[in-house]
Amino acid sequence: MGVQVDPMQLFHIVPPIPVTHMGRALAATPVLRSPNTAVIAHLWPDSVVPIQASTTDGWYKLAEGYVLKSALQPMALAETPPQVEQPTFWAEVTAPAAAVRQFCAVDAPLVTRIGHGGVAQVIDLLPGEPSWYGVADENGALLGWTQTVHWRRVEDIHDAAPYHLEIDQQRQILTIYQNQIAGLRAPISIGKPLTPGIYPLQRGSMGSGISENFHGVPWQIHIGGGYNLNGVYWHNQFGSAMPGSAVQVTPILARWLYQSIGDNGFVTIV
Amino acid sequence: MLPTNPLFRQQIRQMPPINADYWSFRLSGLVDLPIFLSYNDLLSMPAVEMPCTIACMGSPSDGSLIGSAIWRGVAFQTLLDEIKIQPSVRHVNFFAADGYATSISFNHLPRALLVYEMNGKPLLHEHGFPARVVVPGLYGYKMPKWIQRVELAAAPVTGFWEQRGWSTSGEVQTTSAIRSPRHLETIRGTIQFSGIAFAGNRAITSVELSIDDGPWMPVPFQQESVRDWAQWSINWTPYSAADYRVQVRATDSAGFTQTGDAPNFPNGSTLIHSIIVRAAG
Repeated sequence: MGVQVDPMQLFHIVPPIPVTHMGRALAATPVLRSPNTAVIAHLWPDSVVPIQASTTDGWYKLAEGYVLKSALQPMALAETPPQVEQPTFWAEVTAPAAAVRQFCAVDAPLVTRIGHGGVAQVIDLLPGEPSWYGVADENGALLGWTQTVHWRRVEDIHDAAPYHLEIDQQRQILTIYQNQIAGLRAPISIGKPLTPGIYPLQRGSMGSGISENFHGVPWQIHIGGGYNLNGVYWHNQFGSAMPGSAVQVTPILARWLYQSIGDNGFVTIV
Repeated sequence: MLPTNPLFRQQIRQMPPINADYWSFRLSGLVDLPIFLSYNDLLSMPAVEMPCTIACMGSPSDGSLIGSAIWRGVAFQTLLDEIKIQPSVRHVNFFAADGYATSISFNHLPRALLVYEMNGKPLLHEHGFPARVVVPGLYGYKMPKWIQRVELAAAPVTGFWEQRGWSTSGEVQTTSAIRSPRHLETIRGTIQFSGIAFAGNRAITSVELSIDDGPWMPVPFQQESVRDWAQWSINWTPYSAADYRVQVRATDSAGFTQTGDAPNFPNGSTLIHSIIVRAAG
């Protein structure tokens, strides 16, 4: 049973994480006149809508009505507009989703779709109208080609701050401590049962495939016992158990953790 | 919604010169009372109007050889009531003034029309004046223009296209197409997608769009008659200035959903139509 924690807490994280009040529809999403009433419209998958407010019972308020929070992914703010850059570098998806194709054509067979916040290594560039990046798989080989306009370069920032994480499996809550003071509490999704204990943290890949279906899974942090914490772009049901990687957080939070936590940090799993 | 398109034209030979004053139509074969009609006889008979979509079996997936019109003419059922059909009748063989021939199963004939008007005006010569056959649910090659003779028979005539390996039944496969915007058209701001879907004698039950190979999304559509195409329209606002692949597919009342792997030959295509639209910044 999930806990009622507002993922919008991420908007109030300290230090601030640049976010927008925009949400990406994760699937075809009904819009209701008010919570638990009639459907008045549907959002397209991967459409982007402004979020006006958040209720305590699981709804986002939009201009035209209400949608379930689980149906929208809050979007990160792109500090810089996408621009075409020379490989090799890491990049994240700033669009709602980016199609990765077998070759540089919009109607080429699809390899995968990487959702907003996903991260991959750019290893090749084909300039043009449109221009294309070749992105790598988890082994560094070419995964496929994707339009550059959907991506933005991200740097491997490493603040090495002395943070300490606590993962509460039962409540599905992540608490971040600095100097033994809780600085952030955020809902998470547990995908696999973890063995309680204290483990060192170690940064993994900035973006990696975790299965045939999920590529560009962002900001991997090893949390001991062979398990990982990473961002997920395919659901917004944090606070509830979800299949997949061991500890799932929003890409926004995963990025902040990856860039902020030193390799000498540790996690307590309870 | 879309306006009625100009109807496509497909023919195998030059248009036959026909003077309506000398034209006649014959319904004969395995019947006891064959019918002979002049053009004026035809116009004087009880008439019906019927919206009906005609699809060419060789139409590309963009639906460019699919059209719809309101047809006026004499129901074949009216003629069948007069002629005393013999029990051995299984097929209907059509013969046109340009030498074209084809055949349909007799079961289809009661729903067919002997047409002399299209969209409120006499048939144009290129659309079959003085009369053509319209059979709901079959491809256009089963609806001859410039019709002269219809024979009820125990065996089918092997027609022009059937001799070349195309389907003998000619039943329309489920199809859909994006009519607007055009392939590779550049659009600024919100894009209005619109198009058609058609499944012959089966109703359209769902039309779906996919953008950049994303999930299929149902779009609203209207189909006033099962004989007529469904028309659909929806607005979409791209997030980024980029090129997007847009696909449409339809599902019919038999539960069949279009797939990506059925070519036109020999039974008609169920290919999914796909365009690229360029969203400008």
